[in-house]
Amino acid sequence: MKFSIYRFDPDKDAKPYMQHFELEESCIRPGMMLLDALLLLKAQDESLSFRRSCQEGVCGSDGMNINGRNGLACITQLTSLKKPIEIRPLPGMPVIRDLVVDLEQFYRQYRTAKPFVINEEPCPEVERLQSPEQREQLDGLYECILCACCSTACPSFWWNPDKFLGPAALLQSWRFLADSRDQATEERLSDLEGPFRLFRCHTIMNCVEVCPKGLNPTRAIGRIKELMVKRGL
Amino acid sequence: MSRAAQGLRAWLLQRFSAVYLALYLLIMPLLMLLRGLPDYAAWRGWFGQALPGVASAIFVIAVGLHAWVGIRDVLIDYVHAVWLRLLLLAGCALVLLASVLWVLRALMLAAFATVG
Repeated sequence: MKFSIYRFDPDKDAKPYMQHFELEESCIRPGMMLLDALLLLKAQDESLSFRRSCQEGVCGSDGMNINGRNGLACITQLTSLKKPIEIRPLPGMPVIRDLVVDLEQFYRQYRTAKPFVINEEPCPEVERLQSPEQREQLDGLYECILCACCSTACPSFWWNPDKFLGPAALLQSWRFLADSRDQATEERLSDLEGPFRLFRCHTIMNCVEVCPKGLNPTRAIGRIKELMVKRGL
Repeated sequence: MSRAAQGLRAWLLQRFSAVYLALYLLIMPLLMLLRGLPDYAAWRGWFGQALPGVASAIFVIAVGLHAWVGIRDVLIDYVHAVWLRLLLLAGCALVLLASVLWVLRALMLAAFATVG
C-alpha cells in the first residue's frame, strides 16, 4: 500500500516535500485504521512525526489532512481511502514538523469564546440543576473534542485566524449561550459583534463536512445569529 | 459606523435585500411578458408608472446595498492591508453609489415623461 506524506523539519529542510512510503500488504489487517498504518511507517522511518494519544477518536490529537479532507487518522478506515494515500498536516496552520502543527491560534480563539459557565449567583449546596429538556439543548455541542479539523477546513479561518473565532470556538460559544445555567448571554453576544468574530462565517459548511464527531457548527452559528436578532430588534 | 452595524445589521441587510431581489426578479419579468411592451417607448412608459417605477427604484437600491455588503465581505476576507482595503472599499462605494443614482435618475426621467 502506497503513501505520500508531507515532510518538513525546519532544522534541516529549506522547504517541505512529499515523501513516498510503502507498506507491505502482509502488514495490513482487516479493519485497520490509518493511524495503525502510520505507526508501522514510523517504525520504518522514526523521524516521521505526528501527534496521537487515545487511538479511538476521543482525544482529538491526530487530526490531519487525509486525501484532501481533514479527519482523525485513528478512526479513518484504511480500506475507505483512495490509494496512494496522501497525508498532509491540517491546512492553514504553522507547521512545527511533518504532520505536527502549531494550534496556538486555534486555542486562543477557543479561550475568546469563554468556554465555561458564567453564573454570578452564590454556589448552591448541590449542583446547579437542569431539567432534561434544558440538558437536551447541549446535545450536539458538548461532544466537541477540539481536534481542529473544522476550523482548519474553514476558508474564513484561513484568511483571518487571528480575528475570526472559527467553527470550533463558535460551537462552544453557542454551547454556553444555550446553557440554562449560564447568565452571561449579553456579554457573550456583545463579544461576538463586529464584522470579524462571528460574521466572517459565510456558511461554507466545510466544518460540518469534516467534523469527525458529526457535529454541526454551522447550525450553532445560525442559532447565535438568531439569538442576536431576537435580542437586538 | 458602530460595531453592531458592521456585523449583525450588515448581515440582516444582505438577507432582507436578497428576499426583495428574488421576489422582484421573479415577478417583474412575468409582468413585463404579460404586458407585451413591444418597443422602447412602451418600456419607458411602463417604468414611468408609479408601481413599476417605485418597485424598480427599491430594487436598484437593494442591489446597491446587497452588493455593498458582499463586496465588503470579500475585501475584509482577502485584503488585509488596511489602507488598501479602505481605498478599494471607497472605490467600490463610489461606483455603486454612482450606478444606483444613475438608474434612479433614469427612472425619474421616465416618470416625468409619463406625467408630462
